Amino acid sequence: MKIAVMSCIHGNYAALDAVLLDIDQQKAEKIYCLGDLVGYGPHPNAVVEQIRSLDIPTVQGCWDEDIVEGLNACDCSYPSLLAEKRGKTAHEWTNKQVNPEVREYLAQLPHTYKEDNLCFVHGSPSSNHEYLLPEMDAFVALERVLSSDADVLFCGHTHVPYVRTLDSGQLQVKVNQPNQDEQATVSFNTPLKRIINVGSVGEPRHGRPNATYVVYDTEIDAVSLREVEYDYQKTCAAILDAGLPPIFAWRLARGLEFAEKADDPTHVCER
Amino acid sequence: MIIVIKKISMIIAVASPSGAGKTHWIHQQIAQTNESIGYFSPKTDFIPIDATYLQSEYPQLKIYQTGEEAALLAGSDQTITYIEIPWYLDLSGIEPLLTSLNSHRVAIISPDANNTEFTTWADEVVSGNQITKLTTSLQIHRGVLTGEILDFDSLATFWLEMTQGAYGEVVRAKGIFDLEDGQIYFGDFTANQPELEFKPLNLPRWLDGKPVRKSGFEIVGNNLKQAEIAQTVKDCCVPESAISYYQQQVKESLATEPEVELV
Repeated sequence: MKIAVMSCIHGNYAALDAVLLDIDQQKAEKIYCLGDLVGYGPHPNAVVEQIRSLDIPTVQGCWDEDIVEGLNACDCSYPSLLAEKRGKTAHEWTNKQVNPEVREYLAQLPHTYKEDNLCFVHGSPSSNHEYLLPEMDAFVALERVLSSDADVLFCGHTHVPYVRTLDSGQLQVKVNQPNQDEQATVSFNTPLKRIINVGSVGEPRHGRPNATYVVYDTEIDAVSLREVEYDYQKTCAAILDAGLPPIFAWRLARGLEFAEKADDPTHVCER
Repeated sequence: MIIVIKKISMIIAVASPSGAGKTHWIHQQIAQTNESIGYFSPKTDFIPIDATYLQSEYPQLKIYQTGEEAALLAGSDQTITYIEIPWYLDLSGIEPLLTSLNSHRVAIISPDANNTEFTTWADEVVSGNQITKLTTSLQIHRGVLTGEILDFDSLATFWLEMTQGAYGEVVRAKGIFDLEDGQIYFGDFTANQPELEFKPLNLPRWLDGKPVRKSGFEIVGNNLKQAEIAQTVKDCCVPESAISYYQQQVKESLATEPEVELV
């Protein structure tokens, strides 16, 4: 079965519309969404309503959580004072725009969603604020997949798509017991695991404005990273019309993302 | 009979369109001599970006301020004094001073641009950076900072956005900024030239409250969004309430840094 997995729409309705059309053309039978439906972009309500109307299984992203619970992340969320200022401006604007039904929908979203040997999260199984970057330590990456009890872990949050295959995982654990001289040693091999980062629909950070998502074939374990062109100028115009900072439109048009990127990607937010 | 031989000092006036490379050329000249050197750039005292940069490279450099022209006229103690003429100054306006100083005139010109004004004016012409815009059509936006301390990552983001056109078309930008590590950083951008990274200047760290020294920036281009630039720079600043905390962290960090001995 072909499935489509997308993430990080960030209130960009034009990008979502284009991706849904592409998914239809790819003949994917089911769609999953990894959260961050809102934040920065000009159409938070329309995006949520579209996702709801299509009954797409969705997990909660960090921005969705912030809209529900308020901004209470520790300092990890922003790489600079400027990014923090912009993030807070976007949060305040979005918080005023979302209607009660949308807020209620975002509040009930789960942090993880599991189906057969597939697990869907926003950041990582540990936290929707954690970045699973492609270069992160292999042991930590493997631990994150194992903790999800799945073979394929789909994530977003970094806004840059990638596929990482973790094979030949050999783990050896030594346990020191009190009053025992000998260490208990356990060794085991892990089956092949995968992390698939699906990129971002509405706020790409790969240097082009195009939306990205993933098509995955569960029968043959094949991944296709999709990059979809759309009328990003329409979203840029809507950003300006909404009174959001013009720099958001400028950055969107260049595939530069808006702000959020932790200094320490393995840091888990202490909230 | 005692004969006193007074060393004759030379005044070299340097002019060019914006971004052609006046400061760079002066820097090169100073590097090639062991003589005592003076430097004067009229009408730039409010943000002495080039003077601060050159002073950090050459601590012995004597900097003349606006109002000290009389000292130059009386004959400076320096063997050579460079007068860097900002591109926005009218050459005819500064002519009386240059004439009275009997200065040697050097024009740094862009190879393809219309440089008639400069070539007519100069005694010596030097080829400089390629410039794509006519100086006469440009706007200039200056930001004078009064003790503000900026966050480095924020400044880097702003500088990237600004030089890539987020706040209007920029052909030239330069600035000196006090950052949270106590150092003053120099930023230098000329369109179509390899971009230089921010670098800390060889000047004392300021780690006791708001810096009491001049900093700021100068942006040259077209359709500059001055209000947005000002607001973004403001958003890059460390809150006053946090300055002491940052400076204490830096002091502790410096105190624990091992000394490196070169063998």
